[in-house]
Amino acid sequence: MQGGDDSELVRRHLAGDPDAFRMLYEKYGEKVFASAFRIMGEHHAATDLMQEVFVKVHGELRRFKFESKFSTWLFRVAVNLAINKANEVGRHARIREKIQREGRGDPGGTKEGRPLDEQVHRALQDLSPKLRAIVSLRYLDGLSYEEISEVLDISMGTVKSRLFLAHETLRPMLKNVQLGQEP
Amino acid sequence: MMTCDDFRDRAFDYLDGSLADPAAFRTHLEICPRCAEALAGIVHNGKILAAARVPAAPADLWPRIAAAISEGRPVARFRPLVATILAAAAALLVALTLFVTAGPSSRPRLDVLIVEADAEAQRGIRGLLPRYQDVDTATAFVDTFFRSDF
Repeated sequence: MQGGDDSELVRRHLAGDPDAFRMLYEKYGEKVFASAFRIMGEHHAATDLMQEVFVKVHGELRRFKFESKFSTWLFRVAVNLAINKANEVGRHARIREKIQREGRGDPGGTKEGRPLDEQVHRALQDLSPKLRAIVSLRYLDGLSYEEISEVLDISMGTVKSRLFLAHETLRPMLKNVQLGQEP
Repeated sequence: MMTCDDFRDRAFDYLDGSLADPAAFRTHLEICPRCAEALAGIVHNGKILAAARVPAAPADLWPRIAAAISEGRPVARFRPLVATILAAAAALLVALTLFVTAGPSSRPRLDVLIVEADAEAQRGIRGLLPRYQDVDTATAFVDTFFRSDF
């Protein structure tokens, strides 16, 4: 995660620059949305969550202490909110999705629909929100184990053991998925 | 000698090239097909996961966020509670003022006022009058109280 001029943008925002917060959104919005989508498993829910995250971050930015990177703090807010929300709705949604998938052959819906994306999306829905968060932060956002441990406030050992568990769970679902056939 | 638990703890360090003793790790892989399979799975999964795309955020998301911020709209999860309490308090205040200021014969019925209040206010009234099972019972009590000669 780049931290370079984020602190400057935060300072400009706190000093009243009306464009600074939008610039932070433009820098991180897509990445945060991607994580939210992976964890929530649904486009509309991820969109709602994004609004909640950025309104919350805007309201609490005054309390940002510049001790960690802004991006780490932003991801912490976003991922924890996403995990909590996904836990709230997760059980029922997973059951509903499983019924749709198995009953009607519904692929689960990534909206954009390459087979690879849909297979990954489906496989991830069988992980708990916490495991989805770790997989997303590692492989989608490209965070290091140390950064993931900061975002989730867990030890590096826990990050690695959860990631291992996630891989073991995903292995049977992804073993026949091949690269190189995407447009 | 490395165990399967050790393998589990060190698999990611091995793949990152940061493991201090990779030889012992490789030796374990040669004698443990289960761990070898798990490692191959991590490598395969990693490539697939990194290649998978997610949909883009909606193009109008920033304007929506900016509007929510400029309106000072509270975070969604807190909105119902705050709005409900405020709406309920306002509805009750209006109702009680009408009862106190109007003469006994011209006093409007409180239940009519409550029915006219919006759904959020009605929920709030129920919340503010928890001793009563429903709005009708609470209304009957307040109505009787204000209509009595005292």
